[in-house]
Amino acid sequence: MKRSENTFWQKLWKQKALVLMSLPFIIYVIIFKYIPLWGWLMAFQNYWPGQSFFNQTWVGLENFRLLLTDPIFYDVLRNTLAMSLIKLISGMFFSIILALALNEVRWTKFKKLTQTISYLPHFISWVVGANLVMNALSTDGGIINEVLMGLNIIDSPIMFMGMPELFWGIIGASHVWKTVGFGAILYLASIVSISPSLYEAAVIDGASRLQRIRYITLPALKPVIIILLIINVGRLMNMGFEQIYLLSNGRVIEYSRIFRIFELDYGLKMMRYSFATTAGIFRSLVSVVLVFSANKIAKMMGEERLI
Amino acid sequence: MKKGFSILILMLVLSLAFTAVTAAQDEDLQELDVFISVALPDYSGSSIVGDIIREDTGIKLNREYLVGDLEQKVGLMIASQDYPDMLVAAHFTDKFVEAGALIPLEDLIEEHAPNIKKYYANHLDALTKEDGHIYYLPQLAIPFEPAERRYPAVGFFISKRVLEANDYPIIKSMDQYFQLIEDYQNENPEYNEQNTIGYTTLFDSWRRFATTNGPMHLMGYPNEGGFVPVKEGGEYVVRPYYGSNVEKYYYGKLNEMYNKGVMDQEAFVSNFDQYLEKLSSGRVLGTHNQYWQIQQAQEVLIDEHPDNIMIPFPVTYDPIVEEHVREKPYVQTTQGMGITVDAEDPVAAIKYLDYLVKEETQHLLQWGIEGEHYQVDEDGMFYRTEEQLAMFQDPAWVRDEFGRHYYYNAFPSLTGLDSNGNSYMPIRQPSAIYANSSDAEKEVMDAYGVKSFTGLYNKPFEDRKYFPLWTITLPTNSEAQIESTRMTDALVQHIPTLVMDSTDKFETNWDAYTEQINGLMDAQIEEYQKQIDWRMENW
Amino acid sequence: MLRSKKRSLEDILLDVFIYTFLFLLIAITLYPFLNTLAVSLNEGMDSIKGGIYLWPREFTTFNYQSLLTDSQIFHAAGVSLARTVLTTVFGTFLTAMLAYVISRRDFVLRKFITFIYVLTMYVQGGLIPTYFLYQRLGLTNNFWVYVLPGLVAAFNLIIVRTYINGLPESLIESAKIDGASEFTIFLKIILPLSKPVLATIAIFTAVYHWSAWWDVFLYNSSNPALSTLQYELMKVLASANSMSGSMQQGLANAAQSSQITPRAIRATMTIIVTVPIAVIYPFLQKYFVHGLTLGGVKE
Repeated sequence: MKRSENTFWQKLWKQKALVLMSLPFIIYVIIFKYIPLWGWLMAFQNYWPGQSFFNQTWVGLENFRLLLTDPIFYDVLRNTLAMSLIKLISGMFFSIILALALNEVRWTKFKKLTQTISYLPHFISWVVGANLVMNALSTDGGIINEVLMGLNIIDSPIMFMGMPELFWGIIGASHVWKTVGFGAILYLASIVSISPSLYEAAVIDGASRLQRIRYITLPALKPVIIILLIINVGRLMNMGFEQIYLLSNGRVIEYSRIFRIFELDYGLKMMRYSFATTAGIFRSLVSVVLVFSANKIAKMMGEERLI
Repeated sequence: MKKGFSILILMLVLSLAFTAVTAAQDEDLQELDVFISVALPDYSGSSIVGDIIREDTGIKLNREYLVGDLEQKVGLMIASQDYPDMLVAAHFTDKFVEAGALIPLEDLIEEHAPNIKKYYANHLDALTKEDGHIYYLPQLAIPFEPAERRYPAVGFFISKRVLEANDYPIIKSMDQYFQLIEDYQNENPEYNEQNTIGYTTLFDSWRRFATTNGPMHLMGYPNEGGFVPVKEGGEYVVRPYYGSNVEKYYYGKLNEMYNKGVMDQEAFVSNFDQYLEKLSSGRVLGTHNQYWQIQQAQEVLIDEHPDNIMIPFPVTYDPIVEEHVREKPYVQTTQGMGITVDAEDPVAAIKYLDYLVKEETQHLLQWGIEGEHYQVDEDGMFYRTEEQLAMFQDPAWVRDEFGRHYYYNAFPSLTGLDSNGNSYMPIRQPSAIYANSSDAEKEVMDAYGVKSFTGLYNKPFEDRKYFPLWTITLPTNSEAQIESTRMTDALVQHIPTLVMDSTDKFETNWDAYTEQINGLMDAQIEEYQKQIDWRMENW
Repeated sequence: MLRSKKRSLEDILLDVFIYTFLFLLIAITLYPFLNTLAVSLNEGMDSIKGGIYLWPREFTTFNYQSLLTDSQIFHAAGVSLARTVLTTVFGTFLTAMLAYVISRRDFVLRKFITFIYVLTMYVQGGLIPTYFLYQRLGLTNNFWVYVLPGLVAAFNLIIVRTYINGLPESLIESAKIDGASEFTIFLKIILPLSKPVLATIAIFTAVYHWSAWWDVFLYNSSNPALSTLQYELMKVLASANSMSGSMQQGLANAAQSSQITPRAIRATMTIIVTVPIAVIYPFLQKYFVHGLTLGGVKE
């Protein structure tokens, strides 16, 4: 025991340059990210901002009970996890495909242009984006229905926005549309750093383009794919609500109500700070469990991992 | 390396730039900081009325307007206990009272504010809280008589085309209303090469009250909110209309119309923009809403499809119901501008507000400068010439050059008729309502023999001191507050299905709906009842 | 570039697939932008009627004029630029530095530091405690609240670390043998080799800060001198929205037609905020869309 402690301090001393380089960052993160965590105590109170923190009424686990016994809690949980997963997987999949496709384009100007254009939707807020999606899917002259009717696939327009079973799909598809280009940047950065000599050698060995993608490009992307997967699995609960809120309607509400909307409606909007904090803690706990499980799985499979 | 250097230079320049601007500029004016929960671009520092007011008062206002979510802003302000001199926070103003952030005003008013005392006299009772203090002054006091408006607040709107084709009938019942629409739609299935939409409704997020308030108005009530106080033996008893027979009739009718293709098939999955789009195309024959929500569409119609302007009627579920859909003009006494505990000079603040409330100041803010922005006829009545009217048609000019919004929106001010019978608000000047209407509007008014569309409505309820119920806020963390949110969730979920499902499923859907909402009203009713009783006693 | 002379069927099919995919993508990602541009150049009240696709119907520059009115907005754009440049430059550099440190597999604090940073992605203190902290630190009503809290983001850190992990360790080893200090290794070897990923996180950071307004709202809203571009635009949007909202309360502007409609304002805002960053983008793009010519280092 003593010896290992010794070696730890010895090592630390030996690596003092690295320690020096990282020390400010440790202090920084503790101040900015960990000190505000005292606010979690609010979850055990009926916090009202007008009074000092210690004069609040303490209510124990009451807020957690309220949260976990809420009649719509499990619906909300299901919708959140399902839609987050759909968004995560479809978003990553298409961003990777885009990065791979761009990498295969030899015409540099076209490549750059495509890439620039594909990332433009990132700048269009969901308020504007939701209108475009709803207009495209409208039964009243929406482009999708027009095309489907023009091709005689359907006889009468389909009310896409009113079909609960389609809602998750619409969310996934519009998410891909908005993020595919922006998401591809990360993968492109990894592809660029692959040594050309690898491709040259493969060509000499007679590898086809698909084989080169399969055996050179994809393996080079693997670490970043795995890392992003782990990070985002942890974020499943934190899915933003703007897109879903704006595309949702009463017809599909049973499939569109997600945790963040629930948290907002029953928390901040009613100025129930303690309830909002409780919901936040719950999200954090789920996230931490998810992210460390994912990390563990990656470790067991011998892949790149987060920590 | 060069690049890095240039970036560094750039940064230096920039950081200099923004430190420079923070340097103070102004002369020896007294400054008052005020937070205002409405949204406006920052005041440019000078405007026609602003310069006069600054000259008169010697006070410079630093206004902070709201941009993001009010509830977050309020939470942070209260938590940090860091307040400006004055503030108004819409329906959260009472939270500042709860937090002890506002000072009592009654003594200040008594000593330093003769105008507030005079013009707010009608409302001081309603403004006095249970602890006997007045904490804030609402915008828009009604010191004398209320003024008419061109459009009533709410109604079942129907296209002028339909009215014209039927020789301008008086529409009293919902059955009659839909019969007219249905028949007309059958005869005129297309408009401008697009399908005619018989009826549409708005159900987008918080705007959905356009749909859900329907039954309340069918019962002949003005907008009370989620419940209606019914007069029973001299008492006002809070009753739900959700789940009532009238509501069942209303959604049953919409369901029938939906399945007949009269009602817009997409209404429940559309948002506000799409709703306005449809309305302003002239192809919609009817909708139920509050007028301000369809106003933008109406303006397009007046310009481009004058035959299709929408005319409001106080439709009821049964013609024998005596309707009082028109609102009694009221003052929203549960919010307003208050002076905070951080104000260094509360007397200066109240004097400033008192100056704003003065009748001359109000005329300056709302009408402008005599001879320049309005004229006075031999009877002392105000009016505007064509050119003057045109100036005020440009909202950007009124806001930025004239400067009205910066001393008027959310500040204490006056409405209704003044001591001489002029309307404080130019657009409600009695002589102007009919005269300044468009030709199409006049045509309809003439056909019905009225001088404003409000004339199509009965007189409002006379008594009802508490009015309206919806200005009551449910206490934070109360059972009633949670019920109310759950109720909203239930409405969002069930109403589209009630209307959109096939007619033979309506009964089942109705049962499912009422079963869910029935347990969600008791605490709300109790709380509202308590507050209504308190208001009846103290106002 | 080596290429087999004869194109195989697979090759052709692959190209067909790729180009179809990319053209489809261009269509669906360009349209919204062009549509937004058209709406921004169309008369606001006319846009209410809908039916604007790629071309304005009643052309006007009024929407731009009403947004780009006073010097305030240009000043705010300056603040946005300042925070964007500062955060991007320093943030990227510092993130890279810490990423290098935690990429060193032999470093004893590696796990600890990674852990405390990763956790921040999932665990947050909430609005009010954070506000109190900034208040104590004197960061409210202060420009630096835009820069300091977001300087090193965990997500970017992990991305860069993963990238550095992929670099050949031999480079560090040989530098060490040459007697280079840790900081020199980072500066002279790691930093230049990480350009692609640093360009990536620089873009992420820049895009975020260029269009940020939330922190202005929370911490600096009472000081117009610290306003940012997006915040100024949000003000105009909010006031356009409340034009209709305030009618409910019977405010006087109720019956006046407004040419400034929320929809037109939103479209115009989108263009104003997007164009500068879209213009700069190609300059950063060269770091990660160079095709196979950059000379990669991963083996």
